[in-house]
Amino acid sequence: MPTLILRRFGFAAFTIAFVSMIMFAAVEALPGNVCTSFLQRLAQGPRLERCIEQQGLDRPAIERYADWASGALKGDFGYSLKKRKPINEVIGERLANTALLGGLATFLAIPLAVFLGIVAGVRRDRPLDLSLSGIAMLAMTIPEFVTATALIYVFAIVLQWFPAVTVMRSGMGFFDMLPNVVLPVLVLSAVLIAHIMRMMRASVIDVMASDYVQMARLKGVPERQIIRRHVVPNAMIPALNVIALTVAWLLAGVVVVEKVFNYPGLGTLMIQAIYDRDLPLVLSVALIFSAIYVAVNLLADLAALMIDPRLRRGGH
Amino acid sequence: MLQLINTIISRPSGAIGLTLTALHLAIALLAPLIAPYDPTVQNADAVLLPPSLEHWMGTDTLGRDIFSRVLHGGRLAISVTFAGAVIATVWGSFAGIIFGTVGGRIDEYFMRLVDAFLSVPWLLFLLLIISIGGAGPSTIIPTLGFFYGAAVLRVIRGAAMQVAARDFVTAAKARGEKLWPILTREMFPNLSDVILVEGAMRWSWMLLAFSSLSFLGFGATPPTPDWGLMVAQERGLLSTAPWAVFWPCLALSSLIIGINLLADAIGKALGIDRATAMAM
Amino acid sequence: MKNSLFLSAAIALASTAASAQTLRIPHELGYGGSESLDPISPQRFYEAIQNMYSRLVRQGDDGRPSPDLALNWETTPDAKEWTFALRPGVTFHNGNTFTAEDVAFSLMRTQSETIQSPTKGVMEIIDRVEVVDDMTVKVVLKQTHADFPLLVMDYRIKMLDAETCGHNLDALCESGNGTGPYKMVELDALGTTTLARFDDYYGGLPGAENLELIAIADQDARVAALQAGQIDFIYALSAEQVPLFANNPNFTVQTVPTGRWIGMIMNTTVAPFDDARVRKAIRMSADRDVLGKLVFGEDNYITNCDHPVWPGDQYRADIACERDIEGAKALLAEAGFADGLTVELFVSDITEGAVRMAEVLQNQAKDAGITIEMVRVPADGFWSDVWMKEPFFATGWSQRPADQVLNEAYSSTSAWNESAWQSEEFDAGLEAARAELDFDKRKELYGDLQRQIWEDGGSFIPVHLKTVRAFSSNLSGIDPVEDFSIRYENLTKEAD
Repeated sequence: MPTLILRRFGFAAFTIAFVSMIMFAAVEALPGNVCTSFLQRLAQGPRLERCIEQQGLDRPAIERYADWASGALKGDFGYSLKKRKPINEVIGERLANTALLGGLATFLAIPLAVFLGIVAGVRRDRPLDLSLSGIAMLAMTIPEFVTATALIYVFAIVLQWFPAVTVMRSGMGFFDMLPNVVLPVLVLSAVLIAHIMRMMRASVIDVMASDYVQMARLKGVPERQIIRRHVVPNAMIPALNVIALTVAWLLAGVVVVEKVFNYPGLGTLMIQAIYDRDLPLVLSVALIFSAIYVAVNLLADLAALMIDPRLRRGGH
Repeated sequence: MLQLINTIISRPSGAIGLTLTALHLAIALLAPLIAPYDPTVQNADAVLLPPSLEHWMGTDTLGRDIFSRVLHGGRLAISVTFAGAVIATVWGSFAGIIFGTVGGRIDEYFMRLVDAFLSVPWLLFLLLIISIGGAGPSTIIPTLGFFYGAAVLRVIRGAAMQVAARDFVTAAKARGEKLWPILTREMFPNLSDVILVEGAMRWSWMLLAFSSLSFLGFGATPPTPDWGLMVAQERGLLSTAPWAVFWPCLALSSLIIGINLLADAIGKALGIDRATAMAM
Repeated sequence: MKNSLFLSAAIALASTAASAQTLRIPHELGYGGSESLDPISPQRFYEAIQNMYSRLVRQGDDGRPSPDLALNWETTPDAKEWTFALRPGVTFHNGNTFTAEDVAFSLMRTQSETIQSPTKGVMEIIDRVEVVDDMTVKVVLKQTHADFPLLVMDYRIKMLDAETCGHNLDALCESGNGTGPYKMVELDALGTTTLARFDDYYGGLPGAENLELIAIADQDARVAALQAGQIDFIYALSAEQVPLFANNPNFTVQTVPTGRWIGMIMNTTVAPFDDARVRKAIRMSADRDVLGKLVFGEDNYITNCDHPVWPGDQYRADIACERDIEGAKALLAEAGFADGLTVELFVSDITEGAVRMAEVLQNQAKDAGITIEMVRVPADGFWSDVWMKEPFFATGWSQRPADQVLNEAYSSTSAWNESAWQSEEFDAGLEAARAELDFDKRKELYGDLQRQIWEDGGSFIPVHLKTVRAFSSNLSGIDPVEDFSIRYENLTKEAD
């Protein structure tokens, strides 16, 4: 058991290193560099050369990667030329904002989705299930930027309950931020709920048809108890995997949502950084994204181990 | 085949799915014949007209007929994502079957690599690749195919492991048969259903991903009629010209819903348990 | 004096009564958070700088220089020495007095090799600045320039406090200490930057108590923010966004002609564009009115004959350039392209409308037997990899006074001579215009230069653009001038 967990951690570390290498290679392959994007029209002749020299862009790529990686290991992500700030500083606030957005969406979505999924699964093919599944299907297929625009129109422009875009002020506390995140969280969690609910529903239906549930029924165990004792725990195991995978989607969906709501999070930062060819910044954000992903997967793995003792024996 | 279709349409959701998908494919094929206007012709005197007999779905900001654009609007997305889905399904399931059958160390190490790859935030990586290669189909198709293929691989490998554990495969291995005959004779026929359903699901999500790309300015390029791009360009006009947003959105969603329902129905008809095979 | 004190006190009272006196202006975040408070930095934080500093000379309603920190000016007959009399009693935000020394400092630092300001090229005409007394400076030029005040009217040539900047000509000075109507309270380029009214502003007490510059990078998001009442004002509406505000009593829409232009440039040293007849033929094939309507929308453009001087400029020449397909064909035949001509045009989404303009030109030139093959390239890297490197490419310029843009974009030695145009006649003409002290004669000379560009130049500049802005109806005092000349201190906001 401890070795199993250790191996998972080792793999997590490997994954993060692997991602940073892929991203480094990709940005290296882009035409242009941080100097051409920084100087724009002035990127000609000696000024360009000076910038390249100052930024150390004339050094071999491997050397620059090693530099950045050793700094990152010590917790120092380097300096962003375009933002004129240390990257730790640039990322810090953005990370908190995205964490607030993603965290709220996840904590709102997962319990609700699991509950709705169980309800729909138990009431399979009844009107309640059909309407829940139908709504979920809609929520999954309408692009987030459409949902977001519609919500802005209704709740920000017509009703004026919430702000249409996020306006950041210094010294904003948690409660000042709350009105700003309501609409983005709604958009994100709608999609999350739809995906997880569908998975949970399918999983519940699967377990309900299994032998041991049939057996319990024959033995006369009350239906409520069957659902609580047998169906829910067993249905959770495959669902956990999907919950972890939805986080991967969340990280991408956040990019679109942040753009629509002018929300200063990591997603918009990453897109800007790609445009700006701000290599250290791209790498750092990618690293954080994959670290979140890996961490969530790790959690899901551990949770599955806790729920299902059978998994603890072998690897898989 | 006929029997499969019969089973599919015996359920209402399957019938809806099949109808929607078939309708969309037919429209995409026939759009140049049935569209009343050229989807790219601009008319400075007919800007943002509401729906009328002349323009069934109204006109957009450049005076183009939205009905004609909606009819044409799926062609690029459908063909790009279909090609992407085929690539993803082919390489993903091929590799998935091999690793599922072979098992052991090689499988384990390779799957670690695939898992690591899946942890790259895909949209961001896609943006990077498109910045390198330009926003043409020749960049987007292989990139989508490659990325989604990794996810297909994971699912198919899981299914293949179950098949590989069954008696007839172990028997074949015991007989000393080579890998290739086992793959083609034992594994593939038993997995083709899962692969089909998996491919259809990937296709529907790829459509949504493509519209996100268009929204961020990396997908279809103007003046190509494309649902995602149409919605993205006109979404600010939701209050003054809702028709310019509503129709392309409806078209996009109905196609994705159609493919989804169809894939579900095929899965059910073939007795595939999507619950264990589904991933995002 | 007593009177004006009383008056400003009354205004102050009135504005305290109207409590919500905070003007909220969007900030487009063009430099992604690296915005600098130094007006001559390439990453200048324009919206803030506009309100914190003042110029020597500002643009009057007639487009001519009018007094700001300089009350009046005169020149020697050779137009080489300019003497400016400064406004007395002006203080910086930190209480320092504005003097001639500050002017000398602010003008000379634009030439710094270390700072490498975009204004460097133009301001290098200054040889030295002499402090005559506290309130008088003499600017000595390297060469004659009859319109020198126009050059210091540039929105980036602001007056800084030499003492605050440590008298260092070679360092960026980001203190924010100016003489403008608002002073910096908190700089947060990625969030909300706050400025407060400067009570001792020499132009009278500014209308609104506070300015907030709110970072919103996406235009759709800015539009939504204005609709939701989170900001008071937006610039540069696109044609399709206008209806969102046009018929709404809560908003006012203002359309203003500007000198902004998007053009397609031919390199005059590369075949087939080295033949002036080919260049003219391409220009003659365009229907400028139809192009403007299709690309920018009705009423959002002013047609133009391929030179950069805009209709609001005092030196604009009237030239006719009707579409002439037969004429274009004849010129092409003369140049040896009787059977038609095929060229490649490099475009990118560098600015709204560039790609569409190329598409329309492509369509129109077809009629004259000219096949334009469009090559679309990514926007990032365009300025470094394509612009001034390919033979036929898109470009975009903001508003500049006639002399400045003619010099920057067409004189043979300029770094940004996009069409690589080497015309001795043009260079000499520009010099002559600068040396001419009589306004009417000077206008005639500048007019000739514009005609030369239309006849022989390498530019296609079919229209100048109008800018459309929208603001909440409780805002008043926005003059119908181009964006760089808006005086935010004159804006007032009624309480809701």
